[in-house]
Amino acid sequence: MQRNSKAKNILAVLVIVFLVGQLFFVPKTYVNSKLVTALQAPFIFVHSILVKENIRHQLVELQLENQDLRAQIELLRSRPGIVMDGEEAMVFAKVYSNYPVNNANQILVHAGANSGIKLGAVATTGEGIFIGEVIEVFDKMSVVRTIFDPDWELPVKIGAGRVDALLVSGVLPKLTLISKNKTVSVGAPIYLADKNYPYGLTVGIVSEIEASENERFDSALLSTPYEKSGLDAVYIRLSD
Amino acid sequence: MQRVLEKLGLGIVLLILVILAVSFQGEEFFTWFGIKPNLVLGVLIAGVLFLDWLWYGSLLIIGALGLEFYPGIGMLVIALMGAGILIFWLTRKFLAEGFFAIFILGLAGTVAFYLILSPGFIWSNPSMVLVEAVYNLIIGAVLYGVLRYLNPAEQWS
Repeated sequence: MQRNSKAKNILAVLVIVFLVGQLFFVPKTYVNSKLVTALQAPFIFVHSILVKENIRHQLVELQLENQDLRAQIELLRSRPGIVMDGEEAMVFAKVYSNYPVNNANQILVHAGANSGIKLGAVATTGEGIFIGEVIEVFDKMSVVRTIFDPDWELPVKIGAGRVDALLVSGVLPKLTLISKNKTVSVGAPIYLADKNYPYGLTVGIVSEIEASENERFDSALLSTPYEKSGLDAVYIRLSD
Repeated sequence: MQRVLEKLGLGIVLLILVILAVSFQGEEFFTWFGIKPNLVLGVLIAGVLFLDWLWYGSLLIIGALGLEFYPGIGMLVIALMGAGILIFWLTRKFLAEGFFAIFILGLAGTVAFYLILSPGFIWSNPSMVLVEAVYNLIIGAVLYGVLRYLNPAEQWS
């Protein structure tokens, strides 16, 4: 009976030692973390809501900043800038608008005297195709007369054989005074040969030849590699 | 009161049409066979048959200023104002409302516009001016027909 009681005491002591020993052998941090996590749960919940709100706010700010930067990039892109093509200085200018009615074909561009543009300066596409010349200069803008403007005549040369012709501008620019003795083919490039402009600038290509037995000279139609309505920007040469 | 509101509604519709015409005038979208119609003049031709002098004058000034290509006030403003005043005067003095009036106004308005803007252009390109006049009177007639259908009783005063 006494032995039984002793055994029970020993068992009780062992259980107590085991339980108390947990405090020493199980890592405190583990117990702590569980307790702390449980206690912190509401705070974490509130904090997460605040953080989420903060992130949302930051996101909105970033979006606004992004829009602002895009606007600045667009502004810089549309600002007239000087571009060097070899030794040739050119001003890159965005097109504001086209002349609205039929008696002229001009474009208003966003570069003027402030960018160094002078009367008579040559306007070309990015590929160096002749578009026209500057006929009016304001401080920040200029008016470019295009080859589709009526009543403008320019001496040109056609193809590798450099056949002489006269380009008569208009809604449909036409090449006239082509000698019947010379051969001109469709697709031949047309080069500018006016002493007022740089020699050899390309104007377009021959799209159709109008040969007539009754006429003393042949004529031809010109097509340009650009759409006049699609002109978004032009290059204006600064040097004479 | 109802009449004023009707006039106001019609005036606003025509104001929107003038603004749209100004916006699209420089575009090649409305160019047919290389010739652009004068959209603003087309709207004014229809408008002159419905609006009183105050509304019409306001639309004319807005249209003329919107049409100007050069910075400031140039010949385009003067030409459109001149053509606009001429068609207003013709309507009030000589013409009865109808499609015949549109025909006369389209032709007279276009010729007057170029006479003021660039008389040489009429002599050198008469066919172009004539074709543009036809475009303008077609635009005026279509708008007039639609507005007359929507407002059977409306007339200038």
